[in-house]
Amino acid sequence: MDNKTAQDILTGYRANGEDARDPFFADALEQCTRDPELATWLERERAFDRSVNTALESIEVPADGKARLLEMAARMEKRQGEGAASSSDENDALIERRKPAFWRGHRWIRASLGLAAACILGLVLWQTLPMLQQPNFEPEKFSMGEFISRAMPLSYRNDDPVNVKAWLASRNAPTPEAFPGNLAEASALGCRIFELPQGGKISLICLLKNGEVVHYFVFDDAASELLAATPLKTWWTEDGWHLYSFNEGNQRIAVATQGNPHHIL
Amino acid sequence: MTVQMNMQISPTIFQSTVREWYDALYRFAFSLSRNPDDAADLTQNAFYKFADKGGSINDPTKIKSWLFSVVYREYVDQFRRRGRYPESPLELVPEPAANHRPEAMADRLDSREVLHQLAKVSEKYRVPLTLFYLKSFSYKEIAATLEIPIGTVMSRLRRGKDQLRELLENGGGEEEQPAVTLEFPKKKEARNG
Repeated sequence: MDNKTAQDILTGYRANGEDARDPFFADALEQCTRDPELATWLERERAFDRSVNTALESIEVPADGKARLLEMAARMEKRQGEGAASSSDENDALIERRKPAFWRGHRWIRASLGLAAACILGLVLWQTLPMLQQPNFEPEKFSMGEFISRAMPLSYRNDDPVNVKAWLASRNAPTPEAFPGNLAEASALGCRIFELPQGGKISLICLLKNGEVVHYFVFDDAASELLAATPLKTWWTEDGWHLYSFNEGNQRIAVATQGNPHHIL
Repeated sequence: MTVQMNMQISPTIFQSTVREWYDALYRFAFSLSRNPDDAADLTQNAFYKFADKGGSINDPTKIKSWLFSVVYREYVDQFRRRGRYPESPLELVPEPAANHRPEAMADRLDSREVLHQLAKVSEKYRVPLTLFYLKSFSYKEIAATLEIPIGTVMSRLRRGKDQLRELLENGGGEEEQPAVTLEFPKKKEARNG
């Protein structure tokens, strides 16, 4: 092996020494022990690598992005814990296999934890009950803020907006033509259809853009009257939500986000 | 309203993965996009995909390559959509952290200058080079992440280092490197996560 070939190989040799036992580098490293010139070149190369590595590691990373992800995971973990406490018999069977030995035979421990789980579940239900109520669709009482607070849960979950639109279309629900602005590149969370007592339908599509949930409401012609008093083509705020509305054919669109509205449209 | 993340993996695994890889992933995304906002978006997107599809990664040692691969592919996809290279104002190269203490050779090479010149290295060489230096990707991991042969990795590392060294020695001027054709990974494989 000539020095040029050895240098080509050793270019990929990491400065932290993790490759010392990799046979791929063995011959080239062996050659370094015989050739002082090559050894000097390798030392310079590694020093250069360390300096570039130091420079890259010096790029400051904003803390908020990481913190937000960790926070979401913590919430998810909490929810999963609550879900496990109220799981079905089938899930109980699954959990049975994971029970530690001390667990078996201590009924009072299970009873105490069961009671605690029931209390937590009750608390969660008490807090989420208002969301499960139907929104008020009377035109004179309708408000987007109240509507959004009761818009969950979704009826259909899918991360592809195309699939979500197809699901809505197959149920004759109002479907948007194309998502405007940055929403064109958003992923979906799912959707839900609302049928108004006085006739008319509203589709809700939940989108995810830059980590922010965006509610995309499509009011059909009959349902559009609910938004008759709301502004058109300008952002307004209601109950902590930034809202924007516009007409699309004979449909009325309302976009709602708690994130930065300028990142959306 | 709480953001609903499609969490198909254990939140504990997700959290430990975020803690371990977020910084390196952001730095890689930044070296690609050269823009803090784009870097944050690319990084966040990678973790959302990991939350959704990370359960399909059978070998935990592959998580690192998987995440970096997602960032790279998303960046390439964005590039394809835009039909051009991103704006790359060199002023966006951040100052090194104040508490960062360079050592040895780094005493001679100013970190900001290295970042400044690294941003000018041709895309084709800069991507494997950044992976090599960030969290010390092995040549095998770079090959797996970028889906290129090992021989290509070695030659790109060599040329990338030569280019960077030359830029650092000669100052490199303020002009951007001319755009080069970026290889797009196959779409089918791009969705393998």
